[in-house]
Amino acid sequence: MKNWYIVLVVLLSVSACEISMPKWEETGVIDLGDVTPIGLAMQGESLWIADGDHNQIVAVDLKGNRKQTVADFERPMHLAEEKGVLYIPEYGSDQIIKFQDGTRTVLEMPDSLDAPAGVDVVNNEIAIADFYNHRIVFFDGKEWLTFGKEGKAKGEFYYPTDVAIAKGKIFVADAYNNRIQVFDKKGIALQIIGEAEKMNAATGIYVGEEEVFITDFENNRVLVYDLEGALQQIIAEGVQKPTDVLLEGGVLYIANYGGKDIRKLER
Amino acid sequence: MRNIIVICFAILFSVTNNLHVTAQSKTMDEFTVQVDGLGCPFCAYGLEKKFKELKGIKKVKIEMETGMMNFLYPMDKVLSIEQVEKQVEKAGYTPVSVAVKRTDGTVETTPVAETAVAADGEVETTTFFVSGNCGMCKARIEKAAKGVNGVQNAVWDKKTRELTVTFVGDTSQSSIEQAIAVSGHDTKTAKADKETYENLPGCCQYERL
Repeated sequence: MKNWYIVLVVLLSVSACEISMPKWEETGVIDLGDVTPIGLAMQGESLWIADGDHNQIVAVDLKGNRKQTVADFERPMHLAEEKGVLYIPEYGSDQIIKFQDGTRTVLEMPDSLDAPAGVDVVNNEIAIADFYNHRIVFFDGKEWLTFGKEGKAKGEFYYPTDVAIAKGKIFVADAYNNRIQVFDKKGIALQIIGEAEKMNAATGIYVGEEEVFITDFENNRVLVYDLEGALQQIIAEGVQKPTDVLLEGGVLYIANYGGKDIRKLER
Repeated sequence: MRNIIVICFAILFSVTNNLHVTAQSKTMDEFTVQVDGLGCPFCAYGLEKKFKELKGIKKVKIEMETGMMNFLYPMDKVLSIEQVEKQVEKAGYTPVSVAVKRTDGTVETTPVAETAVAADGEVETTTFFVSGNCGMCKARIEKAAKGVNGVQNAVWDKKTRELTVTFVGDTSQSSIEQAIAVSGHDTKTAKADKETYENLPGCCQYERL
């Protein structure tokens, strides 16, 4: 009988936790002036913003003060940062640029890209959303592989725009299939997330410890899922044509392309 | 002395640069294209990218805020306004106007659409559902509707997906719906054919009725 009480208490506790999971709420806005944000990456105390419309990247501090502007990129898109190196996919030049201490080098690859729209780098692994080729290009630390082709079926893409390496998996913003797809690191399709929400251009993705965030561009919202793909929250207030999302230090940053600002949310 | 050398270099650079620009402008026609519906950066950058693939084209630039695209093209290839419009439409966009300054100084522009002859009959306004997703869809749908003789105005609401159209004379709602279907967008009574639908840009491929 005592055991049954313990089980009941545990179940009630878990249930209470789920119900009381705090929601993301807006705590600030970084006004970007004429900068139109596409991609975000954090480097130390600097938030880097890819401004695709103006072919530049811009760094602001955590209060939003502009620290640096670097021009002459060809449509920079969804960024990544790893060990002091900023990785910049250039949609216009079909290259991934490595930017460190003011120096630019090109990421060497065995295959050509057609409009890279997003990159993620974790440890020695690199994943790239290859927009017009409808595929993901992945370096597993030893060799390059590609997966996906144009289509609507599971494992196929229709213009992927962003990618995230997390939890031993690869998460893809399958933009115009209006969904998230999850793969293992061999490129085997494991899961589809978000079909019930009727997204209209799933453009930017971030995967945290407990949640998956996706920008729903045309519907002016960010959707939050748990790692199993269950919808947790819809963030819509102040969101205008969002293109990317980033979670750093407990703060959720949303790149608000339509509003030319960054929304900051906390729990 | 050092300043004088710097100034001399600056002048020399400026003259050389101007000579280069002048030389280029003597062999290249200058195009200015106004494109409607550039709401989605992923597709808009794609338009720029696809134009860059044209052999010989130089200095392709799109201003997202204004929808203006500029580029230079070799005069000896004689790119026509109609070809530019088709290239824009092939990429899924809606050209509003095209202007070209030829190397001999002549300027050509998109012919101004003839003003519809005022038709007898009452002015009618109707609203109906048209499938679509985005700003590019909006531009395409409204242009298709306005291309029907007798249509005075057409406005598509992205949120409700309803088109409000004003027309006069013998114009019928079914003829407007048919024109919209030909452009790639379903209405409840007129359906786009499969090939046209599949040729729409990714962001425009709405869920079919």
